[in-house]
Amino acid sequence: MLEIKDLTAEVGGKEILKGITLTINAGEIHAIMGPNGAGKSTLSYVLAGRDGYEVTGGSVAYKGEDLLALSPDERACKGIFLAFQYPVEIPGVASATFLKTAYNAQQKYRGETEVDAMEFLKLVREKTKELGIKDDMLKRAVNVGFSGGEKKRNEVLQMALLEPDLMLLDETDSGLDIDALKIAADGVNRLRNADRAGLIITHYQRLLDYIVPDFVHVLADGRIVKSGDKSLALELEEKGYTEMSAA
Amino acid sequence: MKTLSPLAQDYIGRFDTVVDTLPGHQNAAVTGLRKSGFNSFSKLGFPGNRVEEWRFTNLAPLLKGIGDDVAEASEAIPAFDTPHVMTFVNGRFDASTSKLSTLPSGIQLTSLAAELDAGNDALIGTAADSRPVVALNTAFMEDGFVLDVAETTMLDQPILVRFISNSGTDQNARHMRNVIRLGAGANVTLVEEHSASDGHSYFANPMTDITLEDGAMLRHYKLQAENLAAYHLANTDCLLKDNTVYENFSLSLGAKLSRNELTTTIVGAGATSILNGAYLMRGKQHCDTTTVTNHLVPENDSRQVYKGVLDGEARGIFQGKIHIAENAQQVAGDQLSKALLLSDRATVACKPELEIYADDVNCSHGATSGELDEDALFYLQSRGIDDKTARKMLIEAFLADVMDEIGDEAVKEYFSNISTDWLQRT
Amino acid sequence: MAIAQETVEQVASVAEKYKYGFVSDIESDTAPIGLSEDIVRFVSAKKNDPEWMLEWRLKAYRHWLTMEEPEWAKVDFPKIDFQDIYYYSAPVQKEKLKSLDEVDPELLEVYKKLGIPLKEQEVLAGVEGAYNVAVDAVFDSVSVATTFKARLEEEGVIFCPISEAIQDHPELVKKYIGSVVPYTDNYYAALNSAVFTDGSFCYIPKGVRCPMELSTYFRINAAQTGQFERTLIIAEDESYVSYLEGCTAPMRDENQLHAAVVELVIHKDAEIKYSTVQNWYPGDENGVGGIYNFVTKRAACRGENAKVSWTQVETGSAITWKYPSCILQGDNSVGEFYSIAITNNMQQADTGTKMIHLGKNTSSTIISKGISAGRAQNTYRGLVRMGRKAENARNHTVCDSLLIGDKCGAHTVPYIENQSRTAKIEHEATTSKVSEEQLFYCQQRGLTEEESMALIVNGFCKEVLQKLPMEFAVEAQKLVGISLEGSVG
Repeated sequence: MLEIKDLTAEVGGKEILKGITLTINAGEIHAIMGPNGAGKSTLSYVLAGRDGYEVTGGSVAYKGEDLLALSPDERACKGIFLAFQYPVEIPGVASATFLKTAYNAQQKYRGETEVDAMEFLKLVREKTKELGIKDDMLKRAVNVGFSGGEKKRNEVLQMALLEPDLMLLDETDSGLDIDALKIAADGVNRLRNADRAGLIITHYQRLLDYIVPDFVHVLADGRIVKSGDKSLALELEEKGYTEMSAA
Repeated sequence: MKTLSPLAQDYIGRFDTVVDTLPGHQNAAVTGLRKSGFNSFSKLGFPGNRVEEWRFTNLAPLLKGIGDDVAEASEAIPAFDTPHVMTFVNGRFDASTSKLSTLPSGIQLTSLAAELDAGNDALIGTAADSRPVVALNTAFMEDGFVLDVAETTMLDQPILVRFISNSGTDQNARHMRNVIRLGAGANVTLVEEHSASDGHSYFANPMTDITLEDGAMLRHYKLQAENLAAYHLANTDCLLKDNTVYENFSLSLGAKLSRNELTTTIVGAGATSILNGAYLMRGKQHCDTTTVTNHLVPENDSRQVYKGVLDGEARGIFQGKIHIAENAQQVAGDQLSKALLLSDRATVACKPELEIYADDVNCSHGATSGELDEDALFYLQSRGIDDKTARKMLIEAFLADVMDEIGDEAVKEYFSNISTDWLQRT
Repeated sequence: MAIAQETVEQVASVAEKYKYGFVSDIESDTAPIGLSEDIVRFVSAKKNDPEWMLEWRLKAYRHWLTMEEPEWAKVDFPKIDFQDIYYYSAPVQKEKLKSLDEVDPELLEVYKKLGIPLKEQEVLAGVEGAYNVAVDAVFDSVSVATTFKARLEEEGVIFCPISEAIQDHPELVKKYIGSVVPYTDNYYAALNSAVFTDGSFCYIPKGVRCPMELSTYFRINAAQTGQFERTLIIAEDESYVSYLEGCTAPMRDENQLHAAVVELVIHKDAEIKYSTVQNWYPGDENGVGGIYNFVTKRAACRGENAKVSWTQVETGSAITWKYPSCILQGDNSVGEFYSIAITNNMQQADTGTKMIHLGKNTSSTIISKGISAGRAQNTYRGLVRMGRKAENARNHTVCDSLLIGDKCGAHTVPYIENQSRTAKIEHEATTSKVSEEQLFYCQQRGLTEEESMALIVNGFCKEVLQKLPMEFAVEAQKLVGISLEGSVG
């Protein structure tokens, strides 16, 4: 589904990704770990198409198409979802309104039928029930005044609703909130199936107890220096990054 | 042809005679500058209420003529304790009461009159100003302090410059011009005081011109404690280059009518302009604080916090403007003005203005005005504190957080004590 | 980081593909060009004014001659030549019409194009819920038709063109006209008082809650005709009325002057809700053409507990100078001002409100949302004054500006004056831009950049949009929404 070849990228004139090569197939969950400054966040932003993150070389193919040529919303409509660690607040915009607009935008892009307010509410209620989330969050403005856990639930709800093909989870900050991590993990696990892929970018081995990856990669100084299966994560925890990178 | 006020006409009439006696009169550049200031002033006269920046302050009482009012002598304010002192009496440098010997090398603190007489005209620049009060000062400036600090020089203790007025002269107007220049990386704290030793009426017109070179930091604390018959119209301009910090705190207590105008212009990245202050007024005082911060380049910030306490029939004015030019992206500007009215006849007017031409900025301002919080008063009283004490406590609390902004601990204590004293007399 | 250039260019303004831009060819009966005492008499005669009205106009005109045009710091426009304007233009009609069927069909066609419902059936069918909107359509200085008169008459509500009110209810007009905005008030008010030709007159009798929303549509057609509308609304004790004002105008190359005066009088326990959705032609991307909109609107809360709210969404005009104000005289009276002002391309706006607190326990709320884009300059100028006797008065002001693109300006100039110890004033203002983070978040969920902008801007304006009556809210949201459905679809 995702083929990254020799990807290099800069931020603010500084080269952060120095040649990433990675292939993710449908049904696989990959984890990328590494020390701070290695470029983990940068990778997720480059894949999502954020302004200010400039690709200087290499290629990324998504479902056979050149991903880098697409705008962020096109990438989203084609099934890429980035769960932010600290989702931004959008005052005055009710969550329900936001979700419906996004849902319909994606439906429209794919030539499928858009839903009206009643149908949408039904759809959302189904999902909140499945996830065990209270739906009063829908009336509040997007992320405004949300606790860490509530923000995570919001991201998870969006993911459940939009049903992406490639899930990118950005958990690179060292502010550890176990409850929030569990919520995120639960969300990803529910969506796990043979057609979907996931890329978890994290500092924490702990998260990988909850989302058990198929593959683990170590990203250091802008490059993938080691790859393995889930046991690699445990090794990392024992030995630390410096030793692993040197090895 | 505009009809000019009696005071303006008086100045205009005197200029030709006086210009040949003022310091630097032998120097063509100085005389030329005085003349352009004079020409500017003659055309405009003193600003009237129709000039937008002066809409709240009516100079009429001053413009009739400085007059012979005598106010009750105010309580003497203890002098700030520091080894470096420069005193001006009635606008003229007084060596006998100054003490400059302890200043380290790298710091030059001299009298403007002496500099001008010695031919150092460069320090006053060549530009005529369109602000009438500044133009007047340019024409008639007599003396003031010149502070020149060499690169990376720092001072252990603040410098105190005192401007004291008394009736020992028949000249009841003083035009002081001060020039401050801090070289790259220099760091100085300055306390500027204006006061009087008796109650006679006078017109004080200080103008201070400051330039901060890269990385310099100036903490500038001003105490305006003129007597209650005096008029005080002050201007301070500061130019901030890269990575400089200008921290100004102005405490205003005195004068029958005062206006403190502060203009900071930021032309460097990483610079910070801080303009804070408090004004405590009672009786029939009128106090106007007008600040302008111009952000002309990207990546810098400014802050302004002003608090006013108004009793009696006093009138407080705060006009704060933040101007952000078109390319000045990544700028943050915050402004807060709060006024407390203690009596039924005190009034306040406030105009916090934002003029923004760049989009990647973060600006906010807030203004409140009202009286002491009834709930808070009741709470204190319910714990056994009498009404009068409770009120004092709340007013002190109101002032405390702006006083907290003062970076120099000794000055913070000094200003806090002065305001507590003022409150005792409420 | 600054917004992508495409977004800046694509910020759809109503001006971009001005769908109301078309011209109608209707015989006009126009006064000779220019302004003089003769023209004032001409206008007065055309309106069949009684003697007292003509006298009033002449006094106003003579006073105007002594006044100077005001100059505003941040509004820059070529000087208006008042002699180069036609002050009266009425479509030719043979005699007073008895029913809509007699109205010039071309005129009706024009209104149909504008989507204004003139036929009663159309109004009833097209409106949501139980709302009824009585429409008094104005076309270049003369009110063409008024619907729903009968229903209103039942309640004793008078809703008619002001020219009719001068004929049929002279005592009322005489009593109140100029009592809230005297002709001496300002330059444009004096001009208006001299040459106003029409506008709405509303009178709500004691204890009556007006059964429907009242509305007037404006349209300026003949080239160079300034439109000078005068509106007077009187709410007697314990009455209520909601009034909607919405305007459109055709594309023209010469600037057109609009100097209106609106006076509201609110007695004890009464309430007036006045909503405006204004989208006059703002000029093209280069600032050519466009309406000059100089309006004086003022409400006098004369009685105790009187209440007025001004709600406006302004997206048009080349130049806007407008400060709907409230004089809070009666004790406990309440004034509210909710506004969205959008400027794009080369538009300039200097607008805001004045809240003058005179009575005890009066309170005022100001929520102003300004959006600037293109090379526009948007200034909020507000005055909150607590008089000496305004004991325990309260004001709360929130004034937010949003900048889109880096070539526009947003300015806030509030004047806050407090002469009463027990009065409390709280003012907050912020200026920011749509953050790149917010845009990216929306895009990552599948919204295009324009859709994201529309969503975010609507969120920014939400508090004000919620105050609009339902009919207007939809039109307003469309105006506000930065969406390309109009120009791309």
